[in-house]
Amino acid sequence: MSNIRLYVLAGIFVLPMVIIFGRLVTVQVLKHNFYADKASAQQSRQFEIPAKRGELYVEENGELYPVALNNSLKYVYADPQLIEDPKEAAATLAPILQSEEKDLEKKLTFTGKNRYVELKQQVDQDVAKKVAEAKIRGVVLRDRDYRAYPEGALFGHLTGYVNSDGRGQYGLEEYLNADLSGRNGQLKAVTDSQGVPLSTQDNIIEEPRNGSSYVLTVDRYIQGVAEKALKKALVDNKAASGSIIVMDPYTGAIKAMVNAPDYDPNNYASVKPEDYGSFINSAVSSQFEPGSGFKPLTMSIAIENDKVEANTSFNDSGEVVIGEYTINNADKKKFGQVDMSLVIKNSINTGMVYILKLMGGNPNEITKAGKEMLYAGIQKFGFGQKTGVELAGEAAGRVKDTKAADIDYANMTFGQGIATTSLQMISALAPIANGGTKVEPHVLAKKVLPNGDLEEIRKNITQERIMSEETADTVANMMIGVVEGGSGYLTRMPGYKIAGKTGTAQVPKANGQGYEENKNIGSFIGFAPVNDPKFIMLVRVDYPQTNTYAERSAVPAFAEVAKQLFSYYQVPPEGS
Amino acid sequence: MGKVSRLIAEVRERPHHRPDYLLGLLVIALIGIGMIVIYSTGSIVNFNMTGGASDRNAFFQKQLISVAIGIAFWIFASRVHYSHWRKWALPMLIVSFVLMLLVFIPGLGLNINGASRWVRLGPLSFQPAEFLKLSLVLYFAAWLESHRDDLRRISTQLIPFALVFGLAVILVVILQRDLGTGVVVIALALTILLVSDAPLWLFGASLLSMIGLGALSIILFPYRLERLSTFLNHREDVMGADYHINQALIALGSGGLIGRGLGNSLQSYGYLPEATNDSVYAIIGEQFGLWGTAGVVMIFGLLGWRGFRIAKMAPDRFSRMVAVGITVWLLTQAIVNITAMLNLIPLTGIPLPFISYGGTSLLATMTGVGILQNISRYTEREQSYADSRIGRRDRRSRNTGFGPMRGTQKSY
Repeated sequence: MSNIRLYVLAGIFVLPMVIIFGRLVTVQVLKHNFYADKASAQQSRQFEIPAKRGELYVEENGELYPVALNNSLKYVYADPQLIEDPKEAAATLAPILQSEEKDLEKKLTFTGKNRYVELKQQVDQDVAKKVAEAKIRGVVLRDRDYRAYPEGALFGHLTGYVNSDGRGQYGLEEYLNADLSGRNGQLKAVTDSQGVPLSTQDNIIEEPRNGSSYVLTVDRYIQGVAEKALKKALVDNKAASGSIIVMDPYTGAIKAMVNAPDYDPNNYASVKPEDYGSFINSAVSSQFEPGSGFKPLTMSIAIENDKVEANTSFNDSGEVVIGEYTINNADKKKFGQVDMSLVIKNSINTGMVYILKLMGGNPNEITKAGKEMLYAGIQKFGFGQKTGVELAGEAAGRVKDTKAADIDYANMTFGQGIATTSLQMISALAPIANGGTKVEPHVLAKKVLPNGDLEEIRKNITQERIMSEETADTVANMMIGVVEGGSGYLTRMPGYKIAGKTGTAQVPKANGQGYEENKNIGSFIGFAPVNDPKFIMLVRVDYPQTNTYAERSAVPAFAEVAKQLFSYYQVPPEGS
Repeated sequence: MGKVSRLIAEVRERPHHRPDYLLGLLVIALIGIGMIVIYSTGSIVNFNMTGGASDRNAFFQKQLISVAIGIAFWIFASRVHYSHWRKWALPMLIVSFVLMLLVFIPGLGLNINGASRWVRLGPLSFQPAEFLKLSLVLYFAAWLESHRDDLRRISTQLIPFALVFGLAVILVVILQRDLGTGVVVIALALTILLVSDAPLWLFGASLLSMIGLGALSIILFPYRLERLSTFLNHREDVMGADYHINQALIALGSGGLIGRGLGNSLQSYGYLPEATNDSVYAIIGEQFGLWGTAGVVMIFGLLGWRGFRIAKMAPDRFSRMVAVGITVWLLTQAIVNITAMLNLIPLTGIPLPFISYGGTSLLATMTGVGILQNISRYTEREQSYADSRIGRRDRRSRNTGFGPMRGTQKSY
């Protein structure tokens, strides 16, 4: 009888086993696909594989030197949930990371939500080693690409920087952002429940396409020389800001472009809000009225249109009346009987107005035809349009059209009432240096192909002629006079023919009504040697306080850089 | 030590035969499966829990130590004559109860997942419920055996039995909120009662009162109601109250027929809670598929067969009740664990015998198997127990004499 109870008991246990088998078949075989889908839905995640950002180089004797590159550095983060003793962990980490212990403790304390806190970015290998050796549970080291700028502030306005979101800001980083960024790849990876990818069974859906790298036209040596000269000029003149551009007058390749104030793109985040202006590449972004530096351009338009010649004479009375306005020369000078060469050499405003009248065919009056000729010429030089340089934030400038008043056009002949940039100015004057062809200013020379080869970016560029060679030579010769006996005398160098033109421009008031009393922008644009120029250079000094004329504010810096360039380009002095 | 060796030496003096080796092999297979799973996934679970700062194989190493100690317990229990447990049952039960109460002493008890099931004494932490089950089997069997003559006459004699039983159920189910262990305790108590000399109506009455108590506990404790409603209104969304069971089903279901393969578990990467513990069966399903899960059920089935077989041929009432109790304990615990993983019953925190990570469970179950094996050394031929029931007067001589085996020398 009792054995029957045992059999019954054993039999009772058969039932759940049968049910279990049935259920196992249901879950594991019949519903396998259903659960397999759910498993992969929660275990797999799509990740972006970051594309490598393109780098920027300068070339020196066939070697490439980076000015913007990726630096793989460790960063330290923590999962506060895993931190057993925030106080102790903070005490251990504070001296290693050189952080405030209290801040660290606060960051490492679990609040219920903070599963990820960054403790320190960009730690060097020593620090990373110490963090690893501390073996604190929940404190993790990871690699991350950081942008590094080996030349720092020297190339800061050219490179710009990459912000914390990975977007380029200012300069080439912003202008070329899409091209430098490349395209991120896609990775389908199995992860743990926290979403951290496991190293197994990874599946690349799309390979990342790395960003392109470029070689700049800029010469590191010239850039350095220009920077030094600019800084000295600013100190000597107690000036707030300024720029120097050095360009190849034939190709438009920019050899140097420096501005002050500047900033170090490696530490862009430490720039104070009131100093954000230092991010701006004022050579391409800041508009100014060029002043007398503009005169050679007006002259070339008139000569090109056969309205004047070098020896066309003009009788200067020291003033010219246009309607209710009177235009004087600087310091109210009177020059009497002069020719066009002397108009440039002595920077005679009234002479420029006379040229405008001649353009219209009536020596006594400004006419519509004259204004149209000047306007067409100015357009040809590229004023009022962006040059297209590969730098972010370029300003277009502004030229008043021919509906503007006669006085506006009269002022324009000597560079007032026209808004331009330093880069536009140097590009407009390049044809006078190179024999009459327009240049496209640019800072990119070559693209680095995936296999490491370099490819010239500008091949077979046909350059537009905007004036005859004779016109260019005539104006260039006039500009020699400026250096030999005019306002450019401070850059006179024995054995070298330098052509140039100073400009001391008034600064329009912010409200647009008239000009500031005690502010001017001194500039000098010149090129040398005149018969086969190796460079064209613009020096601009804003608001000099000690020397109010460009001949003393901008010209010495030009002379300093020119001297170094002659030796760098190994230009022998004439007659030696 | 001298006493232990004397106890073991005693076995040789009594007539006996080979123990049930198949039972031993089945248990070793289960422990082996557990070790493999813990080795392959314990490192992941441990890594998740510590953020990689501690030893990756800590789980496996601890389990290895537990198995080593468990083998010592097993050998001891299989060598010591089962009749000694009759004397030890009451002290063991008292110690178990005391340990169960320690759970509620602040500083000693560990509260994990809303249930107080662990006691921490110095470097040791253990689950007293595991030893309570073994103690109850031995105590019930001993008590029913010693009171067998009274059972038919005066049912009031059952009061102490009912008190102990009730106390165990109250401790486990109500105070420790451990419904899984409660089910096992109730099952083993009822089945021991069933195979005892107690009248069948007593068993029936107990069964009905247990069902009533179960219903009451669900009504009284809202969290249990919540679990029940979770179970009844199972939703397939992955998060929320159904998280644990859904993750278990995903592990089992994604394993399919042949599984992802050894060491390829993904659910143990933080998805499935208690992956090496209470949920280890789901990880077996994920890694080894239906072959693994069905295999484990088969092994437990065979284990049940051997256990009941030993009970059937047990030499006396006490050993028979002990054999049934231990077998029912292991089987019920396995079934509760597995059916919970399959969403057939609500989830309760209960380890899968021999397989789940955890020292206390291993020591208790391995001791139980040792006792079962010891009983198997003294089993008699077919019908032996029936014979003994007919000639009750023979009992004395058989109990004291452990006479030579009767009948043919067929092996079994």
